[in-house]
Amino acid sequence: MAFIELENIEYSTKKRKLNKEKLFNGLDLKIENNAFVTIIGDNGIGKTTLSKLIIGEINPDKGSVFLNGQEVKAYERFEIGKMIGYLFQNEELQLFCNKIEEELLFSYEFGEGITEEIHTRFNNIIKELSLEKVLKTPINKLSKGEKKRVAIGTILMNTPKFIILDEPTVGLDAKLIDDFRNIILKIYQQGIGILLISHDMSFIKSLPTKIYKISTGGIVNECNI
Amino acid sequence: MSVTFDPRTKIFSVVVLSGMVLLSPNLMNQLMIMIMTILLCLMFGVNIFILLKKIKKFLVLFLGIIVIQSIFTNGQTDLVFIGSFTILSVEGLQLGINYMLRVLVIVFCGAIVSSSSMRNTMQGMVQLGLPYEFALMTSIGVRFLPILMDEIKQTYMAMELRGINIKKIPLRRRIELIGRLFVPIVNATLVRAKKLSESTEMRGYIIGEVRSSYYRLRFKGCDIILGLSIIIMAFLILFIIR
Amino acid sequence: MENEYTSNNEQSIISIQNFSFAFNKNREILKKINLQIKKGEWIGICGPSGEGKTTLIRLINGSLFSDEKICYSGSIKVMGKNVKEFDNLNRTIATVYQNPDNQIIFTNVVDEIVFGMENFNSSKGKMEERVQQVMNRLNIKHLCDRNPNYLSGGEKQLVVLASVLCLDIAVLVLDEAFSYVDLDRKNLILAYLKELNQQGVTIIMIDHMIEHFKMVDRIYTLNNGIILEGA
Repeated sequence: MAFIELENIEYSTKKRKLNKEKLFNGLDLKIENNAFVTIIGDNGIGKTTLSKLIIGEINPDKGSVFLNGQEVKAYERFEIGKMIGYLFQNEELQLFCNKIEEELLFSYEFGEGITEEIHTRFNNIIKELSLEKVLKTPINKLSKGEKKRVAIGTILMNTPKFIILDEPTVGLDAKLIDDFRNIILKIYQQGIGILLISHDMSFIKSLPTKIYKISTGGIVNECNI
Repeated sequence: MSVTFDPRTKIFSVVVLSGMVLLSPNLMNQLMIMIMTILLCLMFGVNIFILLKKIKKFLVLFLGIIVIQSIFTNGQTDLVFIGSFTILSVEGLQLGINYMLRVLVIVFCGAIVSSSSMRNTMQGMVQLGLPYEFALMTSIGVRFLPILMDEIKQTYMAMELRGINIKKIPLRRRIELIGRLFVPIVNATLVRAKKLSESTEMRGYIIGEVRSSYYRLRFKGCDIILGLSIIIMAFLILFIIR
Repeated sequence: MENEYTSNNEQSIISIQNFSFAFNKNREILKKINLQIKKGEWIGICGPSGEGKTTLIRLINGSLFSDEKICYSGSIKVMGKNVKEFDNLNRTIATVYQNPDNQIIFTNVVDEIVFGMENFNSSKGKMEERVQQVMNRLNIKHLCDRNPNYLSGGEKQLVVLASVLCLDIAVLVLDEAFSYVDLDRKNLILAYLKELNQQGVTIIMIDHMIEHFKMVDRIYTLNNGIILEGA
């Protein structure tokens, strides 16, 4: 079975239910392990809604979502978090500390505890994401690109199998987008699957990704751009 | 309800109801005010059942208040007791229910005002003579409450997605964790408030300047009839059927 | 020394002379900026993130000058008048920022769009006409009864843009104002801007995507606090 599977999904937001309009009317999508998939589509077509269905933030009206062979609703949220990392469109909502080291070790501080292995992982991630120079800088003084890297760092600390990136290049200039691309490629090469939501065509074109376009009603088709 | 009432009628009814709640002398009276409130909710199209569902969790609190009132009131009629320790008394029950009814009326009043769109309610306030600035500011404050709730939910979810099993964490640490949740939220709220006010200015808003309105509210027959009915009901409940 | 400015002559509508700026003494953000923008020009400003582009426009539109803690030297003049002393500058310059969540006030799209025109004391007839016009031009008519807060990022940006595009304004400043918008509607926005520009509206656009600059008269790059012409 594919790592992420959406089967015959029907979904409407509360307002649409009143108008009997469905956002998704039979959406099917399979994403394999270690895949690099990009979702494109017009504004309001349901790209972010799709990602929320995958992590179980919202439940479909009909149909099922499967993660690693099991239905999403059978998992606890924190279990999903260990499998799938999510980079929010607004990365600030997922940063809770003011020091980078504290932030990356945050979940272990409140969870399993910080071991030697965790510390090694931390050091490796800091190097991978080129955060050594700003390690002592308070997070609220970092640039947007640096904050996104810290958020990715917190995700990588959990050694996820998949990462969802929600419009990650908005607000970044050409050089930062370039840096970001390199980081994504590095992560992909480590065997972590990537689900990218974006409408930045030049960014998408530069990546070794399969592209799916969502049309009205949640029809998903593979396409080339 | 297919009739739409003027937001000023809603504001008027809320003012009257709040005033009645303050002046009501006894539990029986309070119950009648509650019935009047429910009737008005139905008229204005407020879905009472959905509202009650939302505040279900808080109703448990009321139970607690009833018990506390029972314990600390020098009542004479005990209902439930252990030895000489009163857990539930008639007086406590009365006070508790009285309190609960008052709060429920206020909650329903909030729902009545929210049943008109933000812009319409603002227009109602302006046409009642309040300054636009006041209407705008209070409406924005209310408007952002659900957004704040939503962001708190999102941030909590982000925390869970970090792989933290919040339910397994001991209470003291959990409080610390929840405290951390507010770091991004408070920050975001302060920044948003500043940026929002700047954005209104960058689209021509100047406090105190003359401005036009896309909307103009006019009272309909149903508003006048309802308004008079409210006055009559209030008079009857407060002064006649005491 | 006051510049004699009238809308007909060749004087710049926005004149920045030798302007340096810092939030605090530690880091100078803008270094001796010189920039002259003539009425009816459409200029683009690009450059690395966090280098001061948004700061520059917040100085031009006057919003930073209400903050007393800033340090600056040089002058910024709009229509010949110093920005710091310009009363009601927001009636001359309208600005749209990048994040629509920090700009949307109302719970209905039409209410949001007419907000700007109400501020300008426009007549009801004009508001009705402009609202329909801008919704048609940006292809957002289907959103008219929706609550803008529940729209997608791009749709939200379209709504905020719409509220400004229907104003009779001399200068329009856009700070990455359509970064989330889909390609088709981006072209609609650019076409509408072109029309406004041809009618004499001065446009200052900040962006990273070079495709958005295809209709501008000049491009500037702000790098390391210094502004230079060219991309």
